[in-house]
Amino acid sequence: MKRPAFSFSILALFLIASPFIFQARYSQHVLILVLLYVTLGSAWNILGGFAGQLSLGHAAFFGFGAYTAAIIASKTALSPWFAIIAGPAVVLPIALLVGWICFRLRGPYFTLATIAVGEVVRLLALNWSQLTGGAVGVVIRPSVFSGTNKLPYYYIVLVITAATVALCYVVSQRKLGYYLRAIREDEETAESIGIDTTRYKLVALSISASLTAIAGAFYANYFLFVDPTIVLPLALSVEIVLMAIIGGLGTVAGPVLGAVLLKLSSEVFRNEFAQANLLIYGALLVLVILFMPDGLMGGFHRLFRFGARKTQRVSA
Amino acid sequence: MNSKPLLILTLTALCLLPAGCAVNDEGDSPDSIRVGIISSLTGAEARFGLAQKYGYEFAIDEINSTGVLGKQIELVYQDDTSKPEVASLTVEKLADRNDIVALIGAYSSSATFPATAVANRYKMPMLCPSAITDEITRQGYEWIFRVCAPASEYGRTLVEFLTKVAGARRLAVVYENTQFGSSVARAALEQAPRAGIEIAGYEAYDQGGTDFTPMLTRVKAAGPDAVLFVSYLADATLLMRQSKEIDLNPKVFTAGGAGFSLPDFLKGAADTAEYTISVTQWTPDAKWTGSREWADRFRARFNYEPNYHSVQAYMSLKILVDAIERAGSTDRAAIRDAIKTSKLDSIFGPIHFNAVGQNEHPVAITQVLNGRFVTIWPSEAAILPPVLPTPPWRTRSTVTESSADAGLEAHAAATVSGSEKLLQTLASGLLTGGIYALIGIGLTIIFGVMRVVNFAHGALVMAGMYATYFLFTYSRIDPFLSLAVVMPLMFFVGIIIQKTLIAPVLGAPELNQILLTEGVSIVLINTALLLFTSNYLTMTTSYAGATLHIGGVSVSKPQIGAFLIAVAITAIAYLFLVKTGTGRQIRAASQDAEGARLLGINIERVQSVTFGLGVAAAGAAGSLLMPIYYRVEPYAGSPFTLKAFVVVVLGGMGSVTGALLGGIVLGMAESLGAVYVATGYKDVIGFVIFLLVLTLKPSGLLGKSKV
Repeated sequence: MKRPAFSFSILALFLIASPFIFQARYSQHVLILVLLYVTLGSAWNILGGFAGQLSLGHAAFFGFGAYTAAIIASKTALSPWFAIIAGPAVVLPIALLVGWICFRLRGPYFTLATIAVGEVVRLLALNWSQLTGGAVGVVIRPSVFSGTNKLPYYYIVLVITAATVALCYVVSQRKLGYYLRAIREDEETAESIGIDTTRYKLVALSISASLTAIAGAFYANYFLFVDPTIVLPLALSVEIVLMAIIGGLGTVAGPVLGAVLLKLSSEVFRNEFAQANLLIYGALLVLVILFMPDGLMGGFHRLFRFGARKTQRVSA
Repeated sequence: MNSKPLLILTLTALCLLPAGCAVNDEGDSPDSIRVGIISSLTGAEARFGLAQKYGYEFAIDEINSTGVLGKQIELVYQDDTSKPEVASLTVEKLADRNDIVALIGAYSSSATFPATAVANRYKMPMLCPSAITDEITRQGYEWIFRVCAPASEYGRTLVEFLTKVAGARRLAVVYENTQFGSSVARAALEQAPRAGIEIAGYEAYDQGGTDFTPMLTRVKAAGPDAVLFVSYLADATLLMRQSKEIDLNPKVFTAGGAGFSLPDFLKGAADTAEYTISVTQWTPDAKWTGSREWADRFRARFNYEPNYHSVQAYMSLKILVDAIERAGSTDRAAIRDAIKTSKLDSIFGPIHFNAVGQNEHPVAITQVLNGRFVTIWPSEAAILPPVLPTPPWRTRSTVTESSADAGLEAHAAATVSGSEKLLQTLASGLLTGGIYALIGIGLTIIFGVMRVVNFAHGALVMAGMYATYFLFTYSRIDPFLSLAVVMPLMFFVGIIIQKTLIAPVLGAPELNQILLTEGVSIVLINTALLLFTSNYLTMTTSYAGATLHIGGVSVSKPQIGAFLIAVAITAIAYLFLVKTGTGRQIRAASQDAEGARLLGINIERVQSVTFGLGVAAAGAAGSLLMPIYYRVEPYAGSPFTLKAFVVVVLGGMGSVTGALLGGIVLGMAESLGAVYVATGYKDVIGFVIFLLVLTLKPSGLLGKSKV
């Protein structure tokens, strides 16, 4: 019982002290991005990892959060930070609508439908320029914080990330988590033992989409610029999923690990390999999927034989 | 029990340590001054990044032969991978390094605009060589200077030319829906009415379009006497070629630079480039002293035709070095103040920044005459007078074989009847649908039998396009005949991919397959990027642009050919699946893989053949696209991946006849949507139909089986 408390305190201390260890603003910027992606990967994991609903449309929820901030900034006198609350409020009904449409579908059909939803949202943001600024995008004036001092942003995103990971942990331990895993393993059986699968899938989607929208709202306030190519591309949805897969689907720590490694390695590749950076990235992606199909967490479990539980992964 | 996640979290966090330290690789260097250069070295805009890089290299050689303040200039390149968020990140990174004195970059408007905000916050002097969106100088930034002319200057100059020289009355604006495209279009749409030009219509399209005929049909129906295109290279080429195909004949074709003013445009659009008029930031024959000699030296050094992107990069570095010299210091604030008072006479004209940091660079207007860009405006810089009005397509000498009635009625035929418009729209949709069908057939075979969601399909189409290009260019094999080489070749490529990469993940969750094939796609695209660079390779067949005119409807002959072959391939694939033993095995495996295995069918072999066939069909689509699309580049296939999935779902998974129907339905829907709703929403319509079919009839339009 002592060990978890001990490692938890070390980790917490480390995370709180990080910006003082890494004082360069660029390092702090990378830390902020890593934490943001940890949030995105973990939020996706609630729907994709626990419930097995493999969405490739999460950029849409991120974009809704970011655009909520952008529209508050450009159309009202309020601080765009309100989007952290307003973003999820806007996204919830949309997530329910998306769920209503997409949850009728299984397997690759669900995934393809979520891609279509994501693309429709991107195209609407691009073409509805009176509201969104279209391709020109929206510049947001820094609000509350100056935009050059990274510390406030770091601690805000740290709180968001910690809350998200904690929520994932709570979900994984509670009834909801077990129901979601039951749905993932066999939806018909889950239904037959009395789990209202549609309802729980919608709950998972709502939590996942809201957290993603909060991350989007934070991003807009931090990056101070929003346009469809930045906050709504399909590539963003793919990247979110990638982190969860590379880390380990359906585990609490998987997306955390995946986000840290992916974000840092893409920075290193870009700096070290110049024109070949994406080639190497693609090749590594192929290799990871081929040789570590259940992600790094699966690899860790096999390597260190942590615990007796078998690796959790979706069976085909 | 729960120490595991925490332990792993701790481990993860510790991984940050070395990485966090590694990013601070600055070191004081006593004998060099470091300048940060942000450009697109990879990604969709890499070819422009390359043009800039040559400019920087050319400047650095000159500068370092003498040195600055007794030191050498060292360039620290950062690749923004053509992504805005990465451009901003590189500014964060460079601004934090004490040894970097100033920044130049990025390439595109969308990457530069957010990046300037970051540089300004960090009080880092930054020169923008090429981003033209007006927004950059409207933010009150103190540290940002723009070397090139902004979009509003494009609009002002074009409108002035259209009123004073071309005498245009009705203007239609067609622009790519990007930061760049909408900036120029907005400037023109604001300024034209003030000068008494009526706006006949405006169309925003998603960059990287595959078929513009519906949009151009809409433009034709609006009856403009002047058209303004704002597009990048790939689209510029296709816009001109398809304007000819549908016989769009305004009095003048004008363009907002970019794609229309690059040397590659002349190659890509070939004869259709002739007479087009474009704004340009600079040409080798510009009136500025020394520009011609500079261009000669540049060509000799790089064996590369200099374009305005190269000059802008070159000049930005020269301006910065001049400022450092005058400042006598490498202090950022001192450099900024020195840039403010720059006064240079250069090959890019006089350099002087106004109060908002804008270099008041006048743009020129060029016309393509005899296959060369010739300056025609402003009159004091003009080399030749403009040729106006633009001769109608049918009277041009290159198409004499197609019709003898080279009449002048073409301009008068600006009005299009409603039924002609509808027929043209349907014809375009049908023919585009044929191409979609062919791409969909390959995917439906793979998806239907193996349940593999193949995200590399578009990249495989691209591979087929390259193969066709090389066969045509080096062996003079016609694209239609090259099917006989490309299809077997791609069949084997498919088998190799299946055996080495796909087979191991067949049992894994479909998301692993998606990500694996996405990885394959990234590898294929970036391999092409390294092997062939990001330059467009263009080919012109003897029948390029040949059109059939039936009534008021014009259709491209290569497109008809491609459509017929797509139908033929569908028929062959159908017969193969129904009549042959292997075909029956494939169908058996698609219905019940385990059952088929029990019956003694070699599933592994069936899967290899299936994947090979799917990839061969993708390759065939690539071959047939070349005579229509004219050019190939590493990202050329990418737009087709999602379209192929839409086609497959519409038609029903695994059904080749369904794919044909799905392709045609999607082609028609997009075409009708572009003409009767809005060009920008045509893809939305495609996706909405896709979602409707998925939810209401998930087995597809032709499917019977339950999913």
